[in-house]
Amino acid sequence: MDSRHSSKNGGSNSRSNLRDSMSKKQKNGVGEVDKTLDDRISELPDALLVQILSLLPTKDAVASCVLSNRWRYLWNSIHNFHFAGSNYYNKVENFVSLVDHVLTHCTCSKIKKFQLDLPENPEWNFDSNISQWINFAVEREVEDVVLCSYDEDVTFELPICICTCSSLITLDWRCCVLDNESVIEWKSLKSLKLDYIFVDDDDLAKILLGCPALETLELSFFDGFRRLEITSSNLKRLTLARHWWFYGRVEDPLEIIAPYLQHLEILGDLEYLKCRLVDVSSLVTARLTFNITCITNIVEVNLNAQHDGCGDYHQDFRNLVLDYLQKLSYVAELTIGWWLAEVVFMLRLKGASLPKLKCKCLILEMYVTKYNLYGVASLLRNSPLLETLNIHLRVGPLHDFRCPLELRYLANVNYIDLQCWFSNIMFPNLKNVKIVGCIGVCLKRFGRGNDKLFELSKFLLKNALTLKKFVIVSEKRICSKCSESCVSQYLSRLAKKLFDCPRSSKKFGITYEESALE
Amino acid sequence: MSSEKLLTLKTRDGEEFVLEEAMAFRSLTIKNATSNYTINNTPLPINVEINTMIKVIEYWKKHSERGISEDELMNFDKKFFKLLHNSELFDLVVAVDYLADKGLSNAACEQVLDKITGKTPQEIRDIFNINNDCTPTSLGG
Repeated sequence: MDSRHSSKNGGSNSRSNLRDSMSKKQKNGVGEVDKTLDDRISELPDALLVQILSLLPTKDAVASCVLSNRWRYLWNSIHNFHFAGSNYYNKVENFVSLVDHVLTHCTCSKIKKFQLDLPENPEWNFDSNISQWINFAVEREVEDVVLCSYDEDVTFELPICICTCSSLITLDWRCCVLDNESVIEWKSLKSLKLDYIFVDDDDLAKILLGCPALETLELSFFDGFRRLEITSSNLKRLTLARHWWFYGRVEDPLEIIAPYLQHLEILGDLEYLKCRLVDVSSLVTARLTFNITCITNIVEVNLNAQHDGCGDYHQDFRNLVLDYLQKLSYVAELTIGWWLAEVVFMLRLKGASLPKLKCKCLILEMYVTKYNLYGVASLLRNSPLLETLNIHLRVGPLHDFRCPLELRYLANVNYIDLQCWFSNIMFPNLKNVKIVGCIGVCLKRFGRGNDKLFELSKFLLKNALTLKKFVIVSEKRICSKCSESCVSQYLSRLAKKLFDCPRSSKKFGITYEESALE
Repeated sequence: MSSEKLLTLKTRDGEEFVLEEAMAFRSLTIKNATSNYTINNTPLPINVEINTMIKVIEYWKKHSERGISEDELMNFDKKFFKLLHNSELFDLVVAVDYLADKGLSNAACEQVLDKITGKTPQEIRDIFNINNDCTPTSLGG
């Protein structure tokens, strides 16, 4: 039946003439398809079934061989491998047999992704297994490799075969040990993540030299190097997370020289490491939610000789943060954590003047308390171009340690006149404020007396004359710690209190959103 | 007055329809085929049935909409796939593989994957009506 149209409204006309054909077919009695007794899935071509199997954890893909004769050998052709060792504690031999068995039977010549989550077992030495298995993948031009272990204390040497793998595009290696002699040549590597890694300056430079196409570098739980120089203009994202204090060189800062870098993150507990930004002139976003511990927390360092032994140390912190603010004054999107906010407060107590920041978007990853509120206020005062302020309620790692000096500084919060501190803050451009409750934070009992989020919100509502949107985003998740939906309870209480507060303009409303995470 | 180029396609079961070229070119197969022939209004034959093609076009239309948010697309996708019976889903998977539209192909395969993940072999057999013709000896491993 020829139902061709030559009208100019191709889209809508083609829709309607298709619908006509469809209804004609249904009238002919083709009808209900769900109750068919045909095994349609097995009719799909091999390549499609293999593609689907390749998306499953490998153990499940292998299990498909029992479905029927059609499926017996399909799994042999999968091109992604994910061996998850979570349930093999005390059964390591089974895990090793599984992997060996699968690899022996696999026929694909090109592997896309190869992931090993090794089971926890302190007695088994996986080095030769890893070498064999990774070699298998390298021979088949693997693109993405992930290696991690459920055992946090074990390290794995990067096998030689992978060090010159030219097909590698992403590498995620936890518990990494690099042989000093090995040559690194990763021509195609775009993303490198190394976790629990100890390398010295030279080895790090060698790695970077070996991946000229690298775009993203993430080093977590790291130590051994004090100089990170990135000369490639391809490398645009750098994340440093959690320093692993091993070396003993408490004084030496880590120097970061990266003139082409666009996104920088320094996160987590850096213990005693100070990161100095020597050159980060192209940054667009910076996320600094790290914290540094006072030297008096090191048991080995004897400070009994000097009373105010850590005074200089804290002066260094203040200088460091001032330097950050100066170097990052032009960055468009800035994210800060509680530690930085507290040091900014101490800077202001000492009478330091802060540089003007050009940031348009400021993200606070913290629980707003009386200790960091003033630091936040100072940053807000110095960000006249600010258009968006987001607060992500996030409690940092359990950080109880504060040295006596820090405690003395922080005690000043009790003598501060809140009004005075906030009085002349202008928000000439602030349009959006968003408060987000984060997963994993228990807000049931946290810091009732310390909570200053309401104060801050009230102030914003009243003084931000250009404000257009004020949104509070919560989630219904039941907290694993208190067994209630503490986040949504807290935020809905906050929203209710804020609804009644005076507002700079009647034109916008406060929106409370709750996402139901399943 | 629209100046968009149109393409006439003819399905495997003989139905002809017209589609904007830009949308039809989401299929690499169609795109490559048209580069080899001059437009003289002869319908381009495609190896897909009309019912399945309607679904494909519905998906393409939504994903071509201007200004549509990620969330709206996600909701659409959820509903779109939820309404498909297994049989229709498989037809779609085969058709999209033939048409070579990577985005839709991945989405459709993920749907099949969702139905398999976490299920025991017998459960999978039940969902898809797979006949277990394996004999104990044939499973040598």
